[in-house]
Amino acid sequence: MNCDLLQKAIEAFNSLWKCEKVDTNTLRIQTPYASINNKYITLYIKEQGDDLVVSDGGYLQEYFLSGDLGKPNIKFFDLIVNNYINEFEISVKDASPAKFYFKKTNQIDYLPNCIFEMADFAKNFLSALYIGSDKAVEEDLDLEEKKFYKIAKNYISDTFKQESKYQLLFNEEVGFDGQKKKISLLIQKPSSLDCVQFLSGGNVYTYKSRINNTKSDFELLTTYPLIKSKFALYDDRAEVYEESKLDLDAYLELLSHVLTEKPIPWSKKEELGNIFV
Amino acid sequence: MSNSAPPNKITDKNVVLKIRALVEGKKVCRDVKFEPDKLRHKHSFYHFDNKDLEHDISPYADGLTITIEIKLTNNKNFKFRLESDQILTPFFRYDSTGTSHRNRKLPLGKNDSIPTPHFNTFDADGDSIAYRTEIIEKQAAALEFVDFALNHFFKEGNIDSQGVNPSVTLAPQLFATTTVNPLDGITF
Repeated sequence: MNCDLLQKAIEAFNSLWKCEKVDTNTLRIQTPYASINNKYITLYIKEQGDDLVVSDGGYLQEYFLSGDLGKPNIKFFDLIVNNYINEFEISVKDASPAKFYFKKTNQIDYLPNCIFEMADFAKNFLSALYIGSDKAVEEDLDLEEKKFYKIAKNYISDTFKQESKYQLLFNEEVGFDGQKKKISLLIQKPSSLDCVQFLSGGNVYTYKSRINNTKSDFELLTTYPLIKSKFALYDDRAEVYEESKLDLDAYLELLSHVLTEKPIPWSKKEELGNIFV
Repeated sequence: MSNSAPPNKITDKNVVLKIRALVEGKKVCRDVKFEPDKLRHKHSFYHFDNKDLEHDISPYADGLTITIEIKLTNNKNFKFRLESDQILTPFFRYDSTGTSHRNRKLPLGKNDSIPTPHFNTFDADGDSIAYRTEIIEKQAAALEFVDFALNHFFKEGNIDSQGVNPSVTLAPQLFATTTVNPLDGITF
């Protein structure tokens, strides 16, 4: 066996590159990369002054909006796409209703980098639409969260509703118009609202993003005058918490900076009692 | 109407058989004038009214319809789909433009990349495949016109239009829109 064998693969890969001129300053190319749902990645190269701009031509956003490749779980989808955008420093041009993803360079030596990274990004964008749309995956991801929400709601209703002087509102939105946030439990006191967010997840990624989203939601709500206290009740009975305790605890620690009290674990749920008096 | 993404492979043999029967069986479309219906999404594709098909391959041909979409900024960019209430995904499609499809079962680089225009369907093994017809290979220029392409879709999909040529009434927004360069007017 020798390395000539690789020659066959190289030839096959190379034969997949295609190029056509769409305009005096614009090329449309096909790359040898294909998404998991069998779309060979197409990119546009535009000459703009001294710059070469490699973009998707807007079709990624079209696929995202049309749902033709699937309607993904947004948390899951954002997690993947935003990672690529950050790592590869991909820019976004918003030309509403169109949206373009691009990288540009004024050095011809870096054109291959732009093509390589844009193709990898586009491939994963389309793959994420497909993977994240799988009903089974979607339900699996959310199931733990939904289950925990139900358990927590039942417990709080049964245990505290009677003795609490205040009205308890589950899963209501609060905040200024245009930036309302959904909160698991609102406790309506005479001159203020207390927030309790329930945290869980089917896997470590959804659990983490639930924590992160709560942190940023609570940060945004600091300017909302009615809200005085913010609490979090997290699911330490979930399997994923056992498996990734250190990792999740680090995220919960970050979250505690925006809370009135440290996050309360389900195993110490009696501590919630203080909130209702 | 179905809304889920086309899977890469359909594993349920019965569904594959239904799809092959629906594609290959004779169907009749009695009303073949497609009128502008609504914007499917405010951003891009104009939707045309669905046409019901008659068939002699019941029971799984219930709710069998044709769907057409044309892109707002490029009336050479359109899609036709055959859909059925009984099947969860569009199972016979025509794309005028867009990305090439990869036919995974073929050796890489050896005709596995099927550029548009192309038809998309599921083969007897349930695999999602794309293919090009002789008309597509030879009459690329004519196929840029939606009516010509629609007639080809009817023939390839075994849909009888009762001697009337199927046609699309373009909405006014779609008349002037033939930009083939999506980057026109965009500065990065």
